[in-house]
Amino acid sequence: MHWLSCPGTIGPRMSGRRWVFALAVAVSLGAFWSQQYALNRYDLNLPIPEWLWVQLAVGWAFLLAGFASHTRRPDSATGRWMIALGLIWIGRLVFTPPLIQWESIGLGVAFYGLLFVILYTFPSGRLSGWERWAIPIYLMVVAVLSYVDVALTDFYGWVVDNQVCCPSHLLLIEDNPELRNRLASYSAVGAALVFLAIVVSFLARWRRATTVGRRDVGPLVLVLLPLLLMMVLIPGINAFVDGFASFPFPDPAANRLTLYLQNGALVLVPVVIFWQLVGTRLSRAKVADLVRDLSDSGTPDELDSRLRTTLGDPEALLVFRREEDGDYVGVDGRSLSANVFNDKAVSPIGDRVSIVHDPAVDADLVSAAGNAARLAITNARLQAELKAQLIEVRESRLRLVTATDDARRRVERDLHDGAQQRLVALAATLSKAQENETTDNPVLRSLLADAAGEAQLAMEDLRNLARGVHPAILSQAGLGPAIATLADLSRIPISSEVSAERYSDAIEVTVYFVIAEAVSNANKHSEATQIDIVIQRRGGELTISVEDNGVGDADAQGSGLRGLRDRISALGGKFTVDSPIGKGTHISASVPPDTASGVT
Amino acid sequence: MRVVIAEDSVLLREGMARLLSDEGIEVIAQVDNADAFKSRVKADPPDVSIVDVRMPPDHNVAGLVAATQLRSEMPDFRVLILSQYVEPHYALELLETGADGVGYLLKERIGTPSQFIEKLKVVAQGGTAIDPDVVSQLFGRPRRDDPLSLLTERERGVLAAMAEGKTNAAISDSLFMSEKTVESHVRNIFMKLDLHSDPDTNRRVLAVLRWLRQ
Repeated sequence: MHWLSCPGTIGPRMSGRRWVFALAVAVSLGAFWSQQYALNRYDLNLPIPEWLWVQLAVGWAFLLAGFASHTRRPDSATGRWMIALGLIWIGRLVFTPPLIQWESIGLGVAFYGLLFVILYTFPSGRLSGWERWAIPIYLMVVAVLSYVDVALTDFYGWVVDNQVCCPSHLLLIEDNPELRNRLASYSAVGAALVFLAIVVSFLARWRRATTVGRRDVGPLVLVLLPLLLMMVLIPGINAFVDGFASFPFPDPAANRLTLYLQNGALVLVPVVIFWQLVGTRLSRAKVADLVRDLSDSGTPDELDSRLRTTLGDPEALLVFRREEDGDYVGVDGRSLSANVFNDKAVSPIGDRVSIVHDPAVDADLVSAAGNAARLAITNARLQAELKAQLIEVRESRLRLVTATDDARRRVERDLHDGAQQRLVALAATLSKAQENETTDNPVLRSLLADAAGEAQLAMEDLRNLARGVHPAILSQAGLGPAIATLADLSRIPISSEVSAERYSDAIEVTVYFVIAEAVSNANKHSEATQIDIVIQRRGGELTISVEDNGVGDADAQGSGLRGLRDRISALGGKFTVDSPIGKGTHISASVPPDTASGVT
Repeated sequence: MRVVIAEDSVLLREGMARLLSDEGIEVIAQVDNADAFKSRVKADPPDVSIVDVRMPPDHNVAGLVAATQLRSEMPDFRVLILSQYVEPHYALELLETGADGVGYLLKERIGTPSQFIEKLKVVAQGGTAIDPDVVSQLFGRPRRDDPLSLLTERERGVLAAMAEGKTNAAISDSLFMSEKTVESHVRNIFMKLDLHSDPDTNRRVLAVLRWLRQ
């Protein structure tokens, strides 16, 4: 069968497995032989009973699932537990009634103990801490009780034609129903407590588990509940309800139903574990899909989402370590916050590339997906680095522009607060001097008047200079008033439609200078008689339009317009100039207002 | 006349204080930020305040903001705003709070003390004073089919004087014409510009400035 030919398990382990397999076959044949021997010995003219087939099937379900798990997940002990379980299950069939009751030799207890261990430790299969001593002690206690139970009871014989047909079983000490029932009541209470403890520990485990972990454990929880009901509660009820104690039931149909219910509940366990394996197998198919998808389109932005689908982990993430600074960046080039690594496993899959994923995701699957996607990932990494560099360049360009704006603002303030104040004081002093000038010296008087006039002119120059460096009203009152003043100072009439909204400094300054430059160009070159300015928010964007009715033919590559284009693109915006000869000039730009930080 | 000066430049603040006391005007307080100014004025209202448009705490337009707030809270609060900027926007913003007892002058007007003090007195007495540079910037604003070209030279002079907040009497003084002539010019101007005539000089300022800015 195919689990034997699975890749990755060759050499000595293979032959070990072959021995175990041979042993299981031998033991199965032994069970048949023992059964046949018993039938012959007591001269029962009956076929091999149905329950033997059913129970052999259950045992083999565990064996096959165990082999498959061991192949698929050699890191987990669950596979080995299941193989052992299957062997014990089949083994006890050799000690068949009516020769020896199988419960009596402890194999049954070992079986349920192991079953519990498998469920409890799935998927690692390992016991830890207090479990290492608590679980064996529990198993021993139950084994002793089970032995006492059998040794005190003689109703486990075969029923043929409503008669117990055969002699008492070999381990019987004394048929003492009273003592047995008392013991059974105690053990039923104990069983109920243990049952509760198991349920509580599973719920605790469920709460602690990650999303992916829950997907592993979830189906097992569902299996565990009916199983515990069948195996723990039914014997418990058995002890209290008289009618139940007369198992096997007189009615063959009820016997049959019980047989299938109990074994069906049992067989669910290997089936579910096998189902989990098939799930992983499907994931392997998804890896193939991943390869195909990536070679189809291969856009790195989709890598994360494809990886998530493949791994079945909604938070899986590809990360790249940047060469320059060792920082981790995502597929899109963004820096990652430290908390994406919280409670996650990081599996390196190549040079400076890792997959961050839920620790519960199958490690083989991660590396398979990593291998499959390596080429696309390398490509994505290059693109991510390129993108990161682009973002860095954009950000640094924006920082430069912002720094320039800030510097201009400071210069404007310094001019007003420093030089202008001194000029005002100077003018006032000169004026006082004129008033107090009593020498009647015409030369001196005219010199003072000249000086006062020069001081006035200097103040005016200074004011215009400061305004050109940075119009204070822009940061104080926004684009509307600033553009109204532009319209005061223009030679060509301007009609403007400006929304009263405020934007970030970077956007307002950029938009203002674009418009100021466009208006100044129109005044100098266009011979227009009208300029229309519209600033509005359209969709998510801030759009700017400056249109004149002049001669057109503006040089879009000239330093002025190119500077505007640079400024707009520093904000991640678009800039176009449309200036056909004789048909006016239309400058339009758009800026995404939410990207004032310059990151697109 | 009792005056409060709010100005963060020591040089100008002290200079103005000296200037005013030389003219026999009592400077009851000098403050260097908008918050101190507000509390000082509320504690002891002066006849008129001189306020720098830009001041701490925000080095933005805290002075202007404080002045407009006080005007809405105190009906008799009269204020002369000193500004670094030829920005009609600020003058209009101030006038929106009522045109009586407000002024918007460029700082450099301090350089001609006699005119400065004259304007201060106009404001203190409930009049209006708008800086001539602000008015002339508005006059320079280009207009389609410029309605100002319908006005005679004389009428334009009268309009500018109105925009500065002058009363008819003041206009007749400065333009050397009789008050009757001024009145007839005013009537003509309002007709030609399609403006609603308003007998109140102060409200007239706002109407004219708004018209010029539209």
